[in-house]
Amino acid sequence: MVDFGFGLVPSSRINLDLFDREKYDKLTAIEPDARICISCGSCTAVCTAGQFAHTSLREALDDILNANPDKALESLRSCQLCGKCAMVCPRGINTRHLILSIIKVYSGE
Amino acid sequence: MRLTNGITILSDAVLVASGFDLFDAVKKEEYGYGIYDQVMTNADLEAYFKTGSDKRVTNPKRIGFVHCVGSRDEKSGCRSCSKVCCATAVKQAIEVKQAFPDSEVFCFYMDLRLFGRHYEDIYLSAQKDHGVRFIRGRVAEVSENHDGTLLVKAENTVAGKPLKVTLDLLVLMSGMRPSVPGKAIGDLLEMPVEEDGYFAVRNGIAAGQRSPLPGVFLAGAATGPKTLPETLADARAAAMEIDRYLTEVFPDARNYKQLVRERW
Ligand code: SF4
Ligand code: SF4
Ligand code: SF4
Repeated sequence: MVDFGFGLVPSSRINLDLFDREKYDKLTAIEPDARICISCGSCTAVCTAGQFAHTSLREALDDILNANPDKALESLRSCQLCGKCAMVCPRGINTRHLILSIIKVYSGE
Repeated sequence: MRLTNGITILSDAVLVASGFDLFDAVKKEEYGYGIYDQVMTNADLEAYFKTGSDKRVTNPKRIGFVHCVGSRDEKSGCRSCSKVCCATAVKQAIEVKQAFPDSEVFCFYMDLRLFGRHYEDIYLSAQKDHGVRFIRGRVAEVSENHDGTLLVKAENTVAGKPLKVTLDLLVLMSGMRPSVPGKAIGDLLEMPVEEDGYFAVRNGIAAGQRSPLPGVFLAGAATGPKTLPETLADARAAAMEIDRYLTEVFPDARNYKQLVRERW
């Protein structure tokens, strides 16, 4: 395989070949809305927890797709399930349920 | 005017509808069209859907679509957006998913320009019903692995990180270019051309189907990239403009038109 000048440390690059499709299929089976995020960032901008600790559903969804689920869980750790993000999401995603599902599938709880 | 079949026509108005040429993807060498086996264009894929055979399409597991190939790219001599390829990419991505349900499909875009009626619905459906993955970031370079698969490099500009992915098939969304045969006709008529290579119109808003030359009308992609509904509307508008022109400028033609109407 060609390395293609991809010698960056793993945390600062994305390797989609490592994407865990099985887990993602499990997530989208219980939460089809996980697929329809358009990365608009509204959820992150209004997040109440985000004022105190880094919290971002937008980043979490992106990190899952970027084969970095640990970082996704990190971005949701401080979420207090207030639901404010659901009020602004232009795709009408049930964000709280989605957040719980992500944690369930990816942290094995 | 002498037609190719030798017939000469005398006319008071001419409509130039010379269309567009597809951007020659070979020119974007970094994407490897014509160099790597598993790279094809939107037109090639469309041909595959029609004929059902293309040696590049053999049950691919991972397919990538590259938006804006030869469009929005000053380096390849084209600043403008080709308008149709975002919708085409989303449509083809869905078709690929339908043909190969087990596959993973990625669209690499800079902006998704899905402005027409229902286009946004197709985008939502691609995400929701077909699981097509959209990655914001222009594909920067492509390389071929020993086994013939492709290594694709881009930046995920949402995450702000460089990204690589191994694909079985890469589809390039080649954009629209001014028609070369159309240019030859334009040269014969000495028609003014704008910086982008498409024919100039007298007024982009009020007279979009009239060229600066009296009696010469334009329609469709001769005056820039257009979608199918736009082309149809343009054609109708041009026909009406010609009608108006002939009526106003050649009142004598009225009798002739009267006759035509009576016999319709
Ligand atoms: S539900 Fe969680 S992620 Fe959403 S706004 Fe509240 S704290 Fe932030
Ligand atoms: S508000 Fe909704 S669409 Fe926007 S980034 Fe958050 S989850 Fe995605
Ligand atoms: S329609 Fe989309 S793919 Fe085509 S040139 Fe415009 S932005 Fe690029």
